[in-house]
Amino acid sequence: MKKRSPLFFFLLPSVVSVSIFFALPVILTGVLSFTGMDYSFKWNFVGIQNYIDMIGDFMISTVVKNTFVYVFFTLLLFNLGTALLLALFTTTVSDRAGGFFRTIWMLPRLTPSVVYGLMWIWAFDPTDYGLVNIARKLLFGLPPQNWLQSDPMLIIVVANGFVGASFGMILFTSAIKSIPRDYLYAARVDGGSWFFTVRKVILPMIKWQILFVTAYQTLSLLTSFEYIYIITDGGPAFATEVWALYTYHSAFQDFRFGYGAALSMVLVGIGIVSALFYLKFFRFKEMIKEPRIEVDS
Amino acid sequence: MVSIRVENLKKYFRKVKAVDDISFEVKNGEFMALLGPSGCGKTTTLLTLAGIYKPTSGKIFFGDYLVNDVQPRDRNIGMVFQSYALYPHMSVYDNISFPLKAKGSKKREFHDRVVNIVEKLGIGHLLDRKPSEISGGQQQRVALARALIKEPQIFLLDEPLSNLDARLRVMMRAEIKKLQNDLRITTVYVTHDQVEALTMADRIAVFSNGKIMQIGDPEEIYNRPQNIFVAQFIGNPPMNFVEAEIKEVEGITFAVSKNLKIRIDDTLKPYLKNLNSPNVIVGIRPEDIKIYKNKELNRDLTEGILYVIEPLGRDEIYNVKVGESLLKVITEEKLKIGVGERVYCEFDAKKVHIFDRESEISIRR
Amino acid sequence: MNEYKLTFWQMKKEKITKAIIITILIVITLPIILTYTWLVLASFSTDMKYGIIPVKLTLHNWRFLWKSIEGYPPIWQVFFNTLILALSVMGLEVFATILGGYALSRFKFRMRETLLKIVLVIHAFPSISLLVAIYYILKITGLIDTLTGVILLKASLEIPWGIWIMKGFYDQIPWEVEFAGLVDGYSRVQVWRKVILPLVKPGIAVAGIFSFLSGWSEFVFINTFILSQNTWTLSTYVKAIIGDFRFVDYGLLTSISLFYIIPTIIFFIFANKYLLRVNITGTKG
Repeated sequence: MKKRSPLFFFLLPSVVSVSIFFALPVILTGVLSFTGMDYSFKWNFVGIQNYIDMIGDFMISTVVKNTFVYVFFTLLLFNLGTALLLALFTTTVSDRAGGFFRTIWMLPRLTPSVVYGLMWIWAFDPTDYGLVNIARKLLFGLPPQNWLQSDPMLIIVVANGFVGASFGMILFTSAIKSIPRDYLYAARVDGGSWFFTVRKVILPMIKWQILFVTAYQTLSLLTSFEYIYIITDGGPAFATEVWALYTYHSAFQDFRFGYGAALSMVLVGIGIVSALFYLKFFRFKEMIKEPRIEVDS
Repeated sequence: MVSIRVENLKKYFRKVKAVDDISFEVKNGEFMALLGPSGCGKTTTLLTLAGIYKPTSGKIFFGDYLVNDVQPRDRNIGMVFQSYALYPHMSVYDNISFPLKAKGSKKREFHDRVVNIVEKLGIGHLLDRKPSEISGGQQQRVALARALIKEPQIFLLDEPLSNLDARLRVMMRAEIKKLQNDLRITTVYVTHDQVEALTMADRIAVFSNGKIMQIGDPEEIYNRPQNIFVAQFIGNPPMNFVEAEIKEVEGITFAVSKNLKIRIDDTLKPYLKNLNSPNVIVGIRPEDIKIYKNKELNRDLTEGILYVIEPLGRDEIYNVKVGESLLKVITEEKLKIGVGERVYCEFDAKKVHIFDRESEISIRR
Repeated sequence: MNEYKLTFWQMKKEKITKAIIITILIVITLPIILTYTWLVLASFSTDMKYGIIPVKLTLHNWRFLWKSIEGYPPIWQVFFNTLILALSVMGLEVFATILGGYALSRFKFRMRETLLKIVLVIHAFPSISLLVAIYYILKITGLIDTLTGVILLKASLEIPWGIWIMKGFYDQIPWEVEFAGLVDGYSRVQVWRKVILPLVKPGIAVAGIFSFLSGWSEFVFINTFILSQNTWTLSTYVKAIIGDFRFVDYGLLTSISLFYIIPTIIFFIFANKYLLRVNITGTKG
């Protein structure tokens, strides 16, 4: 007699929970975006009114501009730039020193967001109690500046960047470490400088990782707002209001759930497009090996 | 004990034909080796016998029972793996008794059996160690003990010696053979090492690309290879092959090529009718060629140039260039010939193998 | 033959390059080191010289441990909420992923490839974009403003990540070990429980620790789906305190923050070797 495969029970908890909190919300977000739902939670369908509103929303242009600036600079300067620099530098020095610096850079990622936010609030404290103002005073003798007023976007980019850099750093480091040593030795024996080796040997060999980090981090930056919410809450005067945060404010501050859902759909759409991209990027067939057991119970 | 019968077994992985329509039988108590290069389907066959894989088609019988749908745990087999596959988190004792616990036996019931088998295999002092704390040879013995403790009716071994160093391998070869001989347990042994197969097995099945090329006892496999694949796979250094044509000159039959002429012995002549065309491949083992420094009369000698000598200690391999082809000759005699000098080869006409060039099958099929 | 000659620069280049690289590394890492140093020092000090050198040591900042701050719930209640959240998330996630990871790593079934793709995709999918819909789901199931709701949500959203991690650990176990178990007389479930599960203990530890920390640090979901102070966790507590005391009482802010990140620090000190290897697939920021 054939018994029921235990496979069902192995998959059950994951499938159920993921269906409820992933699959269902994706569909629900789509449906909600066609309603004018507010805090009374009534289903009043309004067709594509939310999307029409979105085009007419005077905030959208600011939000799009902010989002672009935020994503572009964080990505370029930190998630790629600093990440690459850290990976290259820490693999050049001794393993111990390299490991030490990489470990330090993991700290922000592990720290709860509110605490991490607090540290940047202190660093950019408007009085000469804050780190940046102290440094300016000691180094250049300049008076304290109110950074949160004058350069809020800078703070946001830096704060997010110090968390984001470690992602690329780790991927790049492991990619660099897996380059066969012979290539590096050959480049050195052939008389190449460090820059030569990096440019002609290392970078071409980790270009896939660079592409992947770019794509992956673009998506996560587009949809992230946690640190911004904690540090500036979009302010002052919407100077750091990015798309994800605007979505959040629309839904949970203004209680325009329908409109919030419509704004979310833009992110969901970007997410789905990126997902398709990942599936293309990952050489999926290579990654999953066929299971070698054909015993069911 | 029990016999194994495999009928038209096929095992495909998607489009890859890992095992492609094979049939063979292992008699009660017999030691059968499945021999072939890697990727030839021999391990797949073994895992299908174990029930880990299900056949794509075909039948497997253990005794009179069709076991296609029987779970591995109900097949009453003992198995040893290439990596030994000891459970890393269990002590040697727990590893060996693990199959007995599956049947719900208690320690007081099986303790004597464990002691008995570890004494026999000389690993009694290791019982409390973890697999990572013992040597490869000891791990091998633990794996044997684990496979044999439940007194299985079929014993399956998958390249069990290939992870050992050369010296230990030779030792364990004899030991496993003795063990099998004592227990008279039906055994299927997978290996890519022809020496293991030839020295240990009662019979050998030679695999290539998912098919069985020949089944026979070691003597047969070595002396009467059925096809080119078996002929060149078995024997070290491998058999020499020369393309030739069968011709009759003055009533004597020769295999003739541009640079050499090999007389066909009378014992082989009846088989020549199996040929479709005179185009053949002649095979001759390195030990069946004799090498001379001087041209001697009354012998069929082939002239060549000594290309290089490979000394092997007791024997020497002479590489002789005859026309375009390089012949390997192995001999115990130490000839005083320098590289580049002229030598003369004589082929042992009785030991010549002739294959149809088209089908690559021996005329002595 | 030319004379063999090396310039000073050629002889010292290697060392000089390394020194420059180390210097640059120190400079760019300095902000992290300084902010964390400040966090620790400020919590034990009344005033700071140059913002970072403690002037007078005190425990006054830690008064919140025995005396509630006015208008805020007692710290220990908040602490236990956080602990329950983190432990529950950990428990649920480990439970689901040791099962799911095994199924996707070792079982052969028709939907396997599709499921693996789904796991991969939603692991990268911005769950934050689903907040509105999730709010509605929690609302109609009566789970809004409950810790249970956030626990179920948080665990569910972490499961794809956990499955991926666990699958990686399962994948590393040699197939032959599993073959051996099957041949030795056990069913697949028995082999999983007696042989395979003990071998993926490191994976369970990794999935467990990371999901604990992730639950411990959770902010957005608590902030969005929890309304009453009684159900606050340390993240919302600290956020509220920052809101009220920023630029005013850094001593209090830093000591509460430090109290909050103790588990993180403990983990960081003991497990930093594994950190760099495992966190690659866990994403944030």
